[in-house]
Amino acid sequence: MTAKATSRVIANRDTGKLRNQLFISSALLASALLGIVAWVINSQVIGQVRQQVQAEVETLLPLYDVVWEEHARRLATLGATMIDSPIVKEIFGSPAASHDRRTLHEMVVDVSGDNIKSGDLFLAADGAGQVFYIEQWGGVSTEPDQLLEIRHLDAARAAGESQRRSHGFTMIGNRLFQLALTPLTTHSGSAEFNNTMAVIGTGEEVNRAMAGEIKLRMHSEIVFLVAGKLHASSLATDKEQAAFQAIQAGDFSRSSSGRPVEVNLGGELYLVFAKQLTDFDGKQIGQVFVLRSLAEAGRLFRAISNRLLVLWTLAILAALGLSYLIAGRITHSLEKLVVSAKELGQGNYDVVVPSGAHGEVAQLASAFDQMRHSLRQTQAALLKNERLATIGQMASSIIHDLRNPLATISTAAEVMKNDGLSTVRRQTMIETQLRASTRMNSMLSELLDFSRGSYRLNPQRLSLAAVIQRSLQELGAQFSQLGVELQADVPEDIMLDADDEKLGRVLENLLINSFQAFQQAEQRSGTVQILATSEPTGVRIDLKDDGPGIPYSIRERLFEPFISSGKIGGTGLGLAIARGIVEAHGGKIRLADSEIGAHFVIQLPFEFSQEGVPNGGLNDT
Amino acid sequence: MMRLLTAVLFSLMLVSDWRGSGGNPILSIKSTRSLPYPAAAAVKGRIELANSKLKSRDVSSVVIWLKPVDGSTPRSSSKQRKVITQRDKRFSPHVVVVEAGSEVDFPNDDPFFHNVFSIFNGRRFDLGLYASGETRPVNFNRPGISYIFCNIHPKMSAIVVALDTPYFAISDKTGAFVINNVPAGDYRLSVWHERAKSETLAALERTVQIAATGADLGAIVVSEEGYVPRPHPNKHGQEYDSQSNKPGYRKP
Repeated sequence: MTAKATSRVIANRDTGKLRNQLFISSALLASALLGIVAWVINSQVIGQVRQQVQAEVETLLPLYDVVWEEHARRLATLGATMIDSPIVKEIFGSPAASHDRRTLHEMVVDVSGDNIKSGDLFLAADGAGQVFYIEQWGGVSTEPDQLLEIRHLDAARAAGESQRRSHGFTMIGNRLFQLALTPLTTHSGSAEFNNTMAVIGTGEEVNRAMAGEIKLRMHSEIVFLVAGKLHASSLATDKEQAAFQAIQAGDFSRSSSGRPVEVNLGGELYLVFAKQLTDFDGKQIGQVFVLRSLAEAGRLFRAISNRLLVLWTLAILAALGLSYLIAGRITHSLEKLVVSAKELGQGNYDVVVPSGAHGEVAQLASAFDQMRHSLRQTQAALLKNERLATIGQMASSIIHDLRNPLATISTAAEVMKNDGLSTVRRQTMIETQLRASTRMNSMLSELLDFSRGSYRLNPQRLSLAAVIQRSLQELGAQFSQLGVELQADVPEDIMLDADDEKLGRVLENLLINSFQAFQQAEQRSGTVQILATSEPTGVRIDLKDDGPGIPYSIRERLFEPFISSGKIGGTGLGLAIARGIVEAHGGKIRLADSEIGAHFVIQLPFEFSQEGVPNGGLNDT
Repeated sequence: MMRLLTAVLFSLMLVSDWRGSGGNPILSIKSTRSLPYPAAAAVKGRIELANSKLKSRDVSSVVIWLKPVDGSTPRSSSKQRKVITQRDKRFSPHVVVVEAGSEVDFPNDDPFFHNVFSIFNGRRFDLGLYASGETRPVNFNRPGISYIFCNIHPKMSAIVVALDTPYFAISDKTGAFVINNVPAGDYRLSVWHERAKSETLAALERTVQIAATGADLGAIVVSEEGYVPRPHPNKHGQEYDSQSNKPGYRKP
């Protein structure tokens, strides 16, 4: 995996994180906001509806009293009708007839007639409260109800004694009745001497039917509670069961203080108002609960909640989209910046810094670009300084190198001033001077070549073996003085297009390098091998020695100019020149891995087909 | 409203006393033949009702009788005993004709008490409240129309027509009637119908000659025109039902 790809992945992971953070925070914010809104709406709506319902029921509560008043009035009227009827008086005037149940039944039918409703109760008691007739009308049947068993009614005695009408709720058997008691008195001319002939009771059962009737009037459920137990209600069976349990749990009794309470019946919330049921003396015998459903509020809230949920989903989606867009924009630019920074880190000062983003990222990109510019300038300045230093170093090196042959020439000339020199000696001196000047010329042209940065080649068809042979002859004496053996294994038939002199210099430079390494390490024995092999496209020349080798610290930059392992007496250009020449030939030169010594590999094409190739010369920038 | 209506339906015309004399016949008898007097013969006839407001085609309970024009009051040898039963809060039969001095029994066949009374002309009486299964008799010793009621059941009514002649009949449902054993001679024919005004009935009176072979009086048309049912008071002269004028109550 390349460094670039890795950096991209890292950038992706980082931007993913940023995007997630953006999304999560905006989604959380949206959720929290909507949650608060929902809570506020819920409490507002529920509160409002509760208040509304409460106000409604409170306005309806008088209607509840009106319902009972209407019932009470009807019962009182029935009673009044009875006692005002001559028929009734006639019958109650007869001890026999007044105790005949069938006669009384017919009497009630005749007197009250169409005003009797199913569930109505009629009773007759004497002045002492002894009940001698009781009958409840149940639908079409006029048969007496066996469940109604009452012998004595205190309230009847009270009504008989006071000769006043009374009204109240009472239990007869296991049934609850709203009962009006009307005394039937004989008229003796003076109220004080009126006799109570009988007390007529007209009543109506308080049951599910009545609860249903009140429900219709009040649009609320009605629950009758007697002796702490649910007596009857208008509720559906399952709700009634829940109400029964709620009463057992005491949920309803909390509403006795006049304030409505909330009771949950089978999952539905009700606002409960309590009213009392009182007997003839005004004592409480039971309670009536008016239940107003808050289901409407619940429905309203659910509708709002659903909308809020949709809103929430939309907000989350919007947050997702927005954060994707924003993060995408930011992180995409950052990503590009990261890539550019990596490139820059690797030395590419010409990398293009993206500047498409806005805001801080754009500023960052622009700052980054500025940094790149200044880095490049600094680098250029550094390079220039280094070159100047290099030139200085080179100059001293060249001066030092040139001084030796100059000294040789000068010494030879001094010697030749003497006349006593033999002809042979003079000849020798001249040759020495010639060699020294040739060497100087060679050194200067080498320097010139390198400083030009290009090698003007003069390629010709030549035998590789001949070139190598000449180099070996040139340097063989030095190596043998040092005790290092030179070996060459070069097939005679390898022919190639090359510049004879320059190719020779490549080999010589390499050999001199090797020689100097031996010399510097004061190694007095060793071998330098030159192997040439013919390859499909060219020639491969291996040059190996078993000397001290090349230090690892300079291996990578070995072919750059002025790199040397501290050797004395060289321009530091030997290998740089060798590379320049080889590359000008269209070949390659490299240092091969070796355990002992140095091992250079040169590869050259058979045929020369290239112009001079510029390389890292002095004037290439 | 209903109450008023029912009271009205079971009430009677009590405007004036019925008189068995005076007036001229309005209707002609369609077939009048002179025949030799036999010892006793049957007198037939048929009642037709006109201007009736009732849907019923029942023509029964119209009383027809003959009185000798010479003013004699014949008496039958054996008095009949009639029965008016109280059952299902009804008197049955509704109209009974007796010869004055006859007794009528009022058995109570209902499972509850009744109180039979009459406060009008004819025989005034009050049998008081009596229980189921009991029977109380009344002697209608004077001729006249007795309207019979129950004091505790205002819907009940019956009529006893007590006559000082044995020659009477009561129409059946088709209106047909037969007076048996009428000796030949001249008679004053009288008709009584519950739903006819007294003027109408007076106008129907006429003298007829009955032959020994009897007579067919043909169709006697009784008009109910002008009849207005009225409520009857109880035995105390009060209304039965005092609730209809009670304020403050309406039927739900």
